[in-house]
Amino acid sequence: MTQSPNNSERHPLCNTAEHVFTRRQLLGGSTTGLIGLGGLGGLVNPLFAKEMKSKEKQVLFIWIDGGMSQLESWDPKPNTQFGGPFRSIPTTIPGIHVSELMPKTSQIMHKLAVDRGVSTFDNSHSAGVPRINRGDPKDRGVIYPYFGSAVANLMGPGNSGLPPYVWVKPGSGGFKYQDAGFLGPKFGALAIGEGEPPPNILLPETLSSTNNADRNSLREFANQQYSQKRPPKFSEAQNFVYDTAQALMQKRSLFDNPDPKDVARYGDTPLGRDMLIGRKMIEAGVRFVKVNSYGWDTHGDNFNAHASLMPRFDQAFTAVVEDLDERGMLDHVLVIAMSEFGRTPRINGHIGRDHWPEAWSIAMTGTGIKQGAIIGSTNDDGTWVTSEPHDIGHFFHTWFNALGIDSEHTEYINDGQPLPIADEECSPIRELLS
Amino acid sequence: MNNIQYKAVAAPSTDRQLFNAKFSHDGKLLIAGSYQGDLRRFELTEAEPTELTPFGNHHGWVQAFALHPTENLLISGDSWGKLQAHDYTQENPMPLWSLEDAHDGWIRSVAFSNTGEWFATCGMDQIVRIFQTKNGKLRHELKGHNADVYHVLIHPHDDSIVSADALGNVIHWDMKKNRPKRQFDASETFLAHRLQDVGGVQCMTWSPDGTTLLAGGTRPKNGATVQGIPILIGFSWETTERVFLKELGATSDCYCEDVAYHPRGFLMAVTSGTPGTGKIQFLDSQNLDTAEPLFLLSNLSNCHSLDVHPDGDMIAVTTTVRGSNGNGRKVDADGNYIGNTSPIQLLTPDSPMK
Repeated sequence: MTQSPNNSERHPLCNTAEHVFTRRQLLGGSTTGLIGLGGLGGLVNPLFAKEMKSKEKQVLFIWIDGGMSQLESWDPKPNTQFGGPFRSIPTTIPGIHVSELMPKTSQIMHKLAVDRGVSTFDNSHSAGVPRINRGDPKDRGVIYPYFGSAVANLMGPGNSGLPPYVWVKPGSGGFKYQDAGFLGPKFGALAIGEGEPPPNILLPETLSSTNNADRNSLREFANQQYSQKRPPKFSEAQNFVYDTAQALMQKRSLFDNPDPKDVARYGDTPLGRDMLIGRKMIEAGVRFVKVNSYGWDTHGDNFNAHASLMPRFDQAFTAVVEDLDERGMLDHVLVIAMSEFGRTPRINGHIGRDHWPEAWSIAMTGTGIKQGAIIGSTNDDGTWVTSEPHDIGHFFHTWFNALGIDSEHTEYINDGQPLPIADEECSPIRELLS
Repeated sequence: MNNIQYKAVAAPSTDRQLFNAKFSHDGKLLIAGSYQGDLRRFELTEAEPTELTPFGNHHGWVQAFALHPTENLLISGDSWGKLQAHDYTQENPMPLWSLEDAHDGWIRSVAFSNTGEWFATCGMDQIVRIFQTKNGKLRHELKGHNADVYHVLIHPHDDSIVSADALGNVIHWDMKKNRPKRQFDASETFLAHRLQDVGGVQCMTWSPDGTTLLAGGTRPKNGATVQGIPILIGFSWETTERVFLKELGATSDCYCEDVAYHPRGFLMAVTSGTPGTGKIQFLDSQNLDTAEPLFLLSNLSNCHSLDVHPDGDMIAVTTTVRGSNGNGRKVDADGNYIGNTSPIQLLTPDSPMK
């Protein structure tokens, strides 16, 4: 048995019961010169936005939906009550071990940073997924954007001409505006489902360029009519989606059949396929690419499940990190791998692990991240964080800083309301930053 | 046959979760592997079972163990690949021999030959191995599975070796050529769902006359929180043809975890489903299509194994603590994190079954 830490000690940097945006912070933010005065929904100061665009940093965000077990991955506790059946194996960092289910990752550990002291609040998917993806901001009566929409807004689309936020996933594709929150639908995600390009991406052969131009003129006329009596953000989003489709028409090669050698390295699995597309999207210049893996909510048969899930993650994750590294792209691409929470140390009767936000792990590498930084710790049987616990707000600060964004002074302007881009009572985790 | 009734007489438990409780040959001991590197014993000679000194210097999980057919010898394998032999009747059993790397990783099953001269093991490295009992010397290595091998079984008449894997492939091995001789198709127990391999053969047994091979598992509906209909598939040993398929419940009942024939001839099976769901059922082996089981107990939580006492009356079923699941922190009044245990339900019939 292990002692539960006092709740009040869980998040020393996030310990205010009520999250309040103060007048001082409002004024302080204004005096930094980073708050824009335009009052357009979800925009940041134009000078800041221009600076961000010039940096051309990118993000590959690997979302492991359902909850990867930290005990069968980054933070094994072999031969303990809750440790499960698997061994731990050494990595390229002396003294650091990971689960035996990650043999490939163990060989690139020196290129990664892992925080084993993650402690968040929500233990349900319905609350945990959006809250984690939004950085657990304080309630100010607005819906905060997911990290992808935030980066798309703060850093812009870059020079690729491609949409700034692409979500590669199993299942259906389409335009997922919901991620954008108050930023407006324009900053939603273009979802690529099942590795397939959006339908009808190519012009029909029967359509001549003249006819196509005529159709576009008609479309633009209709758009003008549509936008006259509607808020700008709706017509902006509509135009954006159309422009996105136009850009993708020019990049059909992104969806060509992959090189069989790449398939062999990434794995002939949905995650291998999507990670490979994710790499291509990053190479093509997409600002933020989310690669999604489903099926990790292992309330039953957790160990047999992880015995097949983890090697497939291990293979695809290692391949993409190695490829980005070999191409010199980790200099400007931030790579993050995470779930909405970890899994309980306790093993239930269905031989499963349930949801556990109390003590879990997040891995990352790339631009702005200190390679080989394995920080944070849990107790001997993995029940509680023994180091300074890090909430998702700390990670949003850390990742924004890794991308060159001063998270403590940059703000959104939402219809005139300045809003911090990350929980202002959290701060960057300096040990993770290079 | 239609009036079988069992009642619970005890539920010994310990501070760790347990696998596969088995009675010793004399019926005086109940032995189970633990989730933390040892084997646990309970003495059954008194009214209340008494726990004896744990034994076995194992690692990880001790899921696989078997009792020698005639001697007080137990072979156990752990999830790190280690095999050991013990005299389980000793007060503090010490290893008679030990093999640290008998398999690369998780050993799933151990089975003795009919004489006990040798035994077979299988595991996560997809290999079946045959060892000499007296010293643990490797005799054969059988390769041909393409997945984690979950179960190994020896035929009661001729020592034929059969093994079953996570994909539902059951192999009868040709021992002279060290290769598969015949295959039985239990692939209905497997589903590739998203990134996950779900199911596989969880248990096997022979009919008393050795003519039918039974394989249990689930017909998986989905992975993650695995759901599926528990099933038992019967194969003709002579032809490998399927002779029956018996569904043992609904999708929430999930896995048929263990199956055995009672000395009286009926078939016993236990199931474990979504947390809290577990059943023991006895089936008329001559009339498996009969809708109603001879006996059904459905108020247990996640039944993972069963064994029949040598007296033919008492049965032991490994279960779990109801309510052991749940998201987030679950602490006691002192703030201690609460783990799970595996009460072993001991049940006896209302009247002796001689």
